[in-house]
Amino acid sequence: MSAEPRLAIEGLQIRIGGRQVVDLAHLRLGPGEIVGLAGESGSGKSMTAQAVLGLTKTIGAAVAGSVVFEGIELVGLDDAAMRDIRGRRIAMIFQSPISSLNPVFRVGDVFVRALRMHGAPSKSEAVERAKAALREVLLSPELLERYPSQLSGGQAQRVSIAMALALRSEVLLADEPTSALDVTVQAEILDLLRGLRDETGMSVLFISHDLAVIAELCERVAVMQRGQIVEEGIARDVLTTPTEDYTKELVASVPRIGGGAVA
Amino acid sequence: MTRYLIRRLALAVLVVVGVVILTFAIARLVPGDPAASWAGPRASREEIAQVREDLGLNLPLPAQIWRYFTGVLQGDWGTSIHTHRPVLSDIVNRVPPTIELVVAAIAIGLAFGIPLGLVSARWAGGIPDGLVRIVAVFAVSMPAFWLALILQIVFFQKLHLLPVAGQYDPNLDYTNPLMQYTRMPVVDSLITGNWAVFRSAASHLVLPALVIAAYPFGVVARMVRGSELDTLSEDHVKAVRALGFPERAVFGRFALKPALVPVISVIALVFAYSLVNTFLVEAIFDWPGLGSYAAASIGSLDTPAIIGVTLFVAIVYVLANLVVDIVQAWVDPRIRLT
Amino acid sequence: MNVQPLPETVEATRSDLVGRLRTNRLVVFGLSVSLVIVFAGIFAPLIVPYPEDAGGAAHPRETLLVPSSQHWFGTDQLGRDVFSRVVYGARVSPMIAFLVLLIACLVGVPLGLAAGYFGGPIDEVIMRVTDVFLAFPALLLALALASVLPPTIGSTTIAIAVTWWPWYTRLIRGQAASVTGRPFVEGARASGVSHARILFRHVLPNSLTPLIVQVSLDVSAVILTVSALSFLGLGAQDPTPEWGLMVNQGQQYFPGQWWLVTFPGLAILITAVAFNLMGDGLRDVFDPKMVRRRGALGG
Repeated sequence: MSAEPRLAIEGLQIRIGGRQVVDLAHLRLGPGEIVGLAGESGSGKSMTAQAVLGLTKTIGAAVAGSVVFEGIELVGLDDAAMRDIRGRRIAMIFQSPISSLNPVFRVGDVFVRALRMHGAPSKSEAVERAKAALREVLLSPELLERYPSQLSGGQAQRVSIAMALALRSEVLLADEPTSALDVTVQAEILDLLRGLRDETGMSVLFISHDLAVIAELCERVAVMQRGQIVEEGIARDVLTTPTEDYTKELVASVPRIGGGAVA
Repeated sequence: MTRYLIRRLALAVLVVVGVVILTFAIARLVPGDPAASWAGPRASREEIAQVREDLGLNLPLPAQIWRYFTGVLQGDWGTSIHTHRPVLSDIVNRVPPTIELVVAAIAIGLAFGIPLGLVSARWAGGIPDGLVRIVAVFAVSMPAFWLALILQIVFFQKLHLLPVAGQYDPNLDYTNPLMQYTRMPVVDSLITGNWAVFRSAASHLVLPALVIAAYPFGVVARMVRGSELDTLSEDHVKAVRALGFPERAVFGRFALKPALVPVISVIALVFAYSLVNTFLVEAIFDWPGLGSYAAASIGSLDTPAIIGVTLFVAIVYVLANLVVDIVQAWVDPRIRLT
Repeated sequence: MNVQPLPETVEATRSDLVGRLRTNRLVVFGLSVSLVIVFAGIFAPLIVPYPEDAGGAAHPRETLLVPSSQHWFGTDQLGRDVFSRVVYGARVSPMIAFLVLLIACLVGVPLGLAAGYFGGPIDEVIMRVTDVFLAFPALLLALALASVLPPTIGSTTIAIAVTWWPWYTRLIRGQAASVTGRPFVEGARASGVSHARILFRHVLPNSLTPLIVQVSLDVSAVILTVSALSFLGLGAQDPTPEWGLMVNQGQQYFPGQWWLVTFPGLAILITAVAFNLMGDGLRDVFDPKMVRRRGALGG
């Protein structure tokens, strides 16, 4: 990776109530890269992503270390500046797609408000951009009128991705985005993410416990165990010939159809 | 939405049928002679026999139920032993002052309960939270009749601040006679511009409304606190924060709207509870509403009146639940779509 | 560096429960006051200065005395010591409340189990009947019933119990239905386990926690209902030292002899507050939502 990393995490430490839950030495995300963050539940992957956007404050976590995004230090950044970055420059999508959308608001309500907040000059302009983004993710623009409970899981996740697209985010933090979806829908979402990266150069940090999915999508992968990164490198290398014991265990536990190497 | 409405309406009708049957059962449940109880303690033997005829007590049970049912539908809810007037017309006459009282009480309860509940949620675990929770728990545990008496002492006897009897100063009937439309003095004086009566009516309304408002306030404050805190921990709040919205909007719009949905459902319950609380409170304030009528009927064992009021309030409760369910379905699409 | 894994769900361990109970000061307050009240009621004959005043005694020359060192709460219209009567009242209202809740559970829980477990027409019938009862505000139904029954403590108990059972039927039915839907119950039935065994060994234990929480939250509501009925003259009669009755009797001497109304009413308030706080505490401890809140930290 020769270019300057878009997102550089160094020595990130997160404590909750005196307990250290993340101790991440080193993680980089380059422009247009799709990097996987693998590990079991409780390994601190989600915490790490949330800490990037400063979302851990509401649960009383203490964050120390450095997260540099395009030259801006995110740790300890003041609220106003952080809010500018959230959504607009670094977006995040979550595991349960429908629960991530506010059930009592129409999809368009939140979408358009977010666009207006981040600088769309007028409501009609915001609506146009929202519709365009929905078409990009292969959804009908009339979904803006629907309520989240009227969408399928796949559609809801596309809506969230569409928001990142419409806001023209440079980095997408994807926290287990396909874990709650069935396999065929999962494949579509992965295609979508790849397509976005190809068209806009968006960098993606793909968090998942599912190594098969990571193998399919990510160029590099970092494996987390108990808040620390135990192995890191090119996805194919790490997942076919892991060097660390923990990684070996994880890889071995992935069921393979008809045997053979992953990816 | 219409399908939901129809379903809900049909259910309400069924429940009302059940309610009528249950009140019938209670009226007949009297140990001893139901006819004697219906006719009153001073009825002569002939009058009791007449009542027995009228009620069809000699008929088989299904026929009795049918007779009662048709009677209720036609407006024959019995005759009050005390007033000697048809119970239904007594009830209808006494309703407006109670509406005035209960509506004012619920308005106060919501006006203070929702903001304080939000304050409690916003600073959960801190001092504002602790204070609101203590006040709310006292409000919910308050015996209404006792609060009425205590407030009377404090505000009338000691402080001479507020009046405690009636709906407005009766002398005003001579000096500023009030045109009655709704038969609620506060409303009538407002729409006719009769400011003297309005001031008097409003000041007379304060104490009784505060007493009745205690329970709704407590319930709403506690509910809003819990609901807001639960909503704040939901995924969509995290997602909306990640979009960059300020905490103010996250708390006050994106978490608040879903949080208020369960609060809507509790309004019907609180309304019914307040309505029944007026039975305990109106007499103390000389408030000429349904509550004092009910309390007087209970005191004089006026069975037809007691049964009539019970039936009336139960039907009002069914309607209130219906309205609340419809509003809830309108606000929260998940309810009508599943 | 000592990095520990983040727990998936915070399973409430016993020490965790007790720890949480202890840290919530309001709950501790509620629990202790509730216990004080219950014990005051139990040991009333031993602790009050004039135990005979709680019964049929009358002292015509000591009527309506202002509170003093001899009569902390003054005396009433028959010269009886109000303090003694108020403390004895802790035997009346809370006891009626416990009886009411016991009866309501004994009737409501089996009905709810039957409805939730067997489903079908049994469920329909039971739930429709429950719906009709629940269509009445609780106090209203209790008032109507109590007014057609002779005015005694027994009538009050029956009247309120009849009003209360449907809440538990609905609660238990929901729990029973969801437990019954789980595969292991199907499996048990398939292997020939009897209905009774399944109900008692699997369905009931899983439904108990919400029931306990609800019952503890209901105690103060029932106490308020009991005193309301007595206030209207429908329940306990003189000389029973029931708090609501005492407030009713004291009304005609109000506001001059304010102590007749103030102290019994205060007793109702404090008892209701104490049991409410205790119920809140139990709910916080057992409420799975609280566990979910902690689990929202993610991993």
